[in-house]
Amino acid sequence: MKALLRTLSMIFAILKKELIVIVMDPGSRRVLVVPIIVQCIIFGYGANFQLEQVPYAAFSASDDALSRQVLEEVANTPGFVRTRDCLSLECAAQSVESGEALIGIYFAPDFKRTREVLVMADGRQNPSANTALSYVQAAITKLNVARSGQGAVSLDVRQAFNENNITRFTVLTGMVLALTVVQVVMLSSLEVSREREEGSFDMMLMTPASSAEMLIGKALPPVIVAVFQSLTLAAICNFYFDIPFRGSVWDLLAVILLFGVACVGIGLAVSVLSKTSLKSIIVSFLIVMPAILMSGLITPVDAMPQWFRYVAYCDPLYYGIEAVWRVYLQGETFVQNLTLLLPLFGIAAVTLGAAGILFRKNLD
Amino acid sequence: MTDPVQVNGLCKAYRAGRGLKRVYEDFSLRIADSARLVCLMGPDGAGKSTLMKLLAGVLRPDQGQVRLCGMVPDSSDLAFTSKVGYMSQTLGLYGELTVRENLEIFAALRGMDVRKNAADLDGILRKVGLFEFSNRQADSLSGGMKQKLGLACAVCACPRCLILDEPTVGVDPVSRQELWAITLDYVRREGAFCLFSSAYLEEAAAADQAVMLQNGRIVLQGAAAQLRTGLQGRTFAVSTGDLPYTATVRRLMFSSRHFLDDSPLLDICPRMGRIDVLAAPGATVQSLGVFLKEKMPDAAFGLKVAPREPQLEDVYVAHTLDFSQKTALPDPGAAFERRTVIDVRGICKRFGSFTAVRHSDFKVQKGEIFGLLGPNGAGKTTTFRMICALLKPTEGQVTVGGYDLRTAKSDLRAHIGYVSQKFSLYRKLTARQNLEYFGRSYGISGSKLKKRVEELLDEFSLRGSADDLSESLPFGLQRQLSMACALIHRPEVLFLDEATSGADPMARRTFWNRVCALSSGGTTVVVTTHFMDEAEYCDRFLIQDRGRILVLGTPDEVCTQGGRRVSIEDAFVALVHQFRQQEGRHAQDA
Repeated sequence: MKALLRTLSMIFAILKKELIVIVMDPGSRRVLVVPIIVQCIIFGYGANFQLEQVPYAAFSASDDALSRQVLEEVANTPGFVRTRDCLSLECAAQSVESGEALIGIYFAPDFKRTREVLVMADGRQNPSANTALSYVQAAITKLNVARSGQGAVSLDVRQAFNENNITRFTVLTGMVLALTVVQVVMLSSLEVSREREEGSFDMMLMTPASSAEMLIGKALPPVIVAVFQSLTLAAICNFYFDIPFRGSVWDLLAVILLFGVACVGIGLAVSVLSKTSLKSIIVSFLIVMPAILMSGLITPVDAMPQWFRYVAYCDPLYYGIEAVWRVYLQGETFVQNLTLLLPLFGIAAVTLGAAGILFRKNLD
Repeated sequence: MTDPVQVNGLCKAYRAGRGLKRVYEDFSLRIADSARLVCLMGPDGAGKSTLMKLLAGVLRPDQGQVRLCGMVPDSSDLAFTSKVGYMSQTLGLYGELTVRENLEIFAALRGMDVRKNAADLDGILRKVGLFEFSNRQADSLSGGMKQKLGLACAVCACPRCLILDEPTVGVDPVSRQELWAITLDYVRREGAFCLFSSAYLEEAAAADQAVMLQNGRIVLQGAAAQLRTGLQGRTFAVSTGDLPYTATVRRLMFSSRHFLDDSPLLDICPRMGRIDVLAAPGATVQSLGVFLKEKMPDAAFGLKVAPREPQLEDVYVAHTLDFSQKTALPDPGAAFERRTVIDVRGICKRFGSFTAVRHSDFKVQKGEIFGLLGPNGAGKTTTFRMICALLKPTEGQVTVGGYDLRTAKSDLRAHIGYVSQKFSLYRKLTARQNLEYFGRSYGISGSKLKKRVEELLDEFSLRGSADDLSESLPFGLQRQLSMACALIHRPEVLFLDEATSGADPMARRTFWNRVCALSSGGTTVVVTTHFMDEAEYCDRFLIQDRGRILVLGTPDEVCTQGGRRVSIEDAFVALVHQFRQQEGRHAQDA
C-alpha cells in the first residue's frame, strides 16, 4: 500500500511537471489550440468535392449529328468550360496531361456505329475528375432518355478512379484523430530529447523514480492532450459542421484513449532514440505524414498494392479512423468495434512496450 | 589620446516578465588612457555583461552616452567593428563549422580580406595552439579550446579595443594561464586597450585597473595595490601547527559570522595551508586570540594568529559580505562511524578507441568532502557520471553505500543529491514548482513537502523569486535553486559537479560554508571544481589528467613540495606539466 502511494506520488510529480511545461508555456499553449481549430475549418471547406468549374477538351473524329448532340449536352452542363477546340486526339490528350483540362472527350471515327464516347480523366485530381465524370454520365443519361429506343450512347472511361465517394462527413470525422496524431506524436517525441538537451534528464534519472514510473508519468500528459483535442474536434464536427453524432461519447472516448496511448508510445520511442529535439521533430514528422496518408482517410487502402496494405495494417490511424467513423457515423458500440480495437490495443502494447524497453536500455 | 572608456548618465533596462529590470540608472564611468588592461568584477547581476554589450555596440543605451576609444559603439558600423574585438560569454561560435572557418567568418565580418591575410590567420591559430585543429568542428573542442578559439576570433582583425566577457570562465588553470598569456601578449604588443570581466580575483589584481560593480553602481575603482590599502589592519592569518588542517578550517568557519551573529571573524578562507581571516574593524591579534581560546579551548594553544597583507579577494569579500543566508550549525555531538560510502574499484571508460578514464580506484568515507580536479577533458565528468550511475563503466565497479546504483533498488537513490554542471532544472517551472517536483520525486509529499519547500526558500534567499520561472532567474539564484533542489530530501550523499562555476567569491563562500556544515553533519560530498583554491576545503582530493589519477591525498599532502606549502593551483600546474612531459617522452620512446 505504501509502495503504491509512493509510486502514485512519483507519477503525479512527473505528470504535473509535464503538464505545467505544456500548458504554462504560452507558445505551446497556442500551438495546442489554434492550429487544430484552423486546420479543421480549412479541411471542412477544402474537403468539399462539389466542383465549381470543369475545364474540358474535346475532339471529334466522327462528324455526325449524335456526337454533336452529346457535345452540346455536355456543354450545357453547368460549370463545364471548354478550354480548347481540338483538331486531333493528341491535342485533347495533351490538354488533360498539362492540367489545362480535367477531362478530355473523344469521338472515334466509328462512333456512329459503336456509340461509345471515350473519356480520359485526370488521375492526378482523382476525386475532382471522378465528380466531373459523374456529370458527363448524367448528361449522357439525359440524352439517352430523350433518344429512347434509338440505341443508347455509352461511356468508356480510360482510367481507374477512386470509387469511394469521399465527402465532408468522412473526411472531417476522420480528422478527429488525424489532426490530433500530429501534435501528440510531436509532443511526446520531445519529452525525453528536450530534457536531455537541457540537461534535466540526468536530474530525473538521479531521482528514485523507476523507469516504469517515469514512462507512465511522461506518457499520460500527451494522452490527456490527445483526448482533449479529439473531443474538441468531434464537438466541432457535431456542432459547427452539423455532422450528426450517432454513437455514445464513452465509446468514442475508448477509441481515442487506445489510439492516444499507441501514438504516445511511438512518440516516446522516437524521443528516447533521438539525441536532439530537432531530430525528434523531424523523425516524428517522417512517421506522422505517411501514417496519415496510409490511414485510408485520403486514399482507400483497398486501392493500394497488396504488399503495401500490410504496412497500412500497422498504422494505428487505419484502425483508429475506421473505429471513429463507425462510432460517430454509424453508432456502433465498443463491442461491435472490437475487431478494430484489438489491433489498436496490440499496437499500443507494442509501441509503449518498445518505448519502455528503450527507456530502460538508455538508462544503462 | 582619448580615454578608452567614457560612459555618462547611462540608463539601461531590460524587459523581464511583465516588468522592467533596471540595470543602470544614471551610471557614469571613466577609464583613463593610462590603464591598458582593465578588469570588471562583481557579483551576478551587477551589470558587467550589460556594460560590455553596450560598449561592444550589441546593446543600445536607453539614455546617456557610451564611448569606446572615442567611438560610438555600433555593431552595424564597419568602421567601429573593425577596430573592436568582442568575445561574449556564450562565445557565439558556429558549432558545425571548423575552427578555421569560424576564424575566417569573424575576420571577414570585421572587414578583413580572408584570402589575402590567410598567413596572418594561420599565425593566430598557431599562437593559441589550435593550428593542428584547424579542420576540427568547433563543437568537438574541449571547453578550454573553445575559449581559445573565441579569443582568437576576437583578436583576428587586430582590433584596437578588446572587450572580453569572462574569457577564462569554466577553464582549468593550465588553459587559463595560456589564455591569459595570449591576451597579455596581444595588449602589450599592439598597445591595445582591453576590458575583461572575471570571477578570478588574481586576474583582476594583475590588471592595471580593477572596477568593481554592484547593482549597477561602481563600488571600487583603481589599481589592486591601491584598493588593498583600505583593508590594512583587518586581515590576519592563522597557522594551524600540528592540528589537523581541514578539521580546523571547519571549526573556524563554524565560529565565523556566517554561523555566529557576533563573531569578529567575518570571513574564513583556507589558503596555502594557513587560514586567512578577514576580521571585523577593531580586531587585533590579541582580541582574536582571546576569541579563539573561548570558542576552541582545546585547540587554541596550537593556533597562531599573525597579521598579513590584505589581498584583492579580501577587499572584494569585504564589499559583498552577505550573511542573509544563515546556515544551521552542525550538531557538535553528531558522531558517525567512519565507513566507506563510495567505493570505486578499477573503473575504466572507453568511448570507441578513446579512453576517457583508465583504471580509477578510490574510496570516499562518510562525512568526507572529496574533490575531483583536473584540466578540461581529463575525465572528471566521466568519472563523476560513472559514480552517479549515469554512465556505465566499461570495466570495474562503483558502489555507493555498498550497492551498485545501477542495479540497486531505486530507494537507494532517495539518499543521493545531485547538482549537475550546467543549470539543469525545468526552465518553464517556477522555483517553487521545481522544488515541489523534486521533493515529490524523492518521495516527500503533503504537509511535509510544503514545510520543507518553505524552509529551503528562506534558507537559499529564494523567497522573493519563488514564483518566477526558473529560466528568468539570475545565474546566482539558479545556482542556489539547483542546490536547494538537491538538498530537499536531506541526502546522505551529495554529488556536486562544478556547482560553483562562474560564481563570484562571495557566492562561493556561502556555498562552502553550507557544504562544510553538511559534511560535519555526516553528509558525504563529492565535488568537481575549476577553482583550484576550493580544494583547500576538501578532506581529500585527486588530480586527474588524460584519464589517469596523478595524485590523491589531503591538501597538505598534495601541496607540500620540498617542505614548502604551495598553492593548489601551483601544485596542479606542476603535476600536469610533469605528467604530460613524461607521456610525451613515452610516446617518443614508443
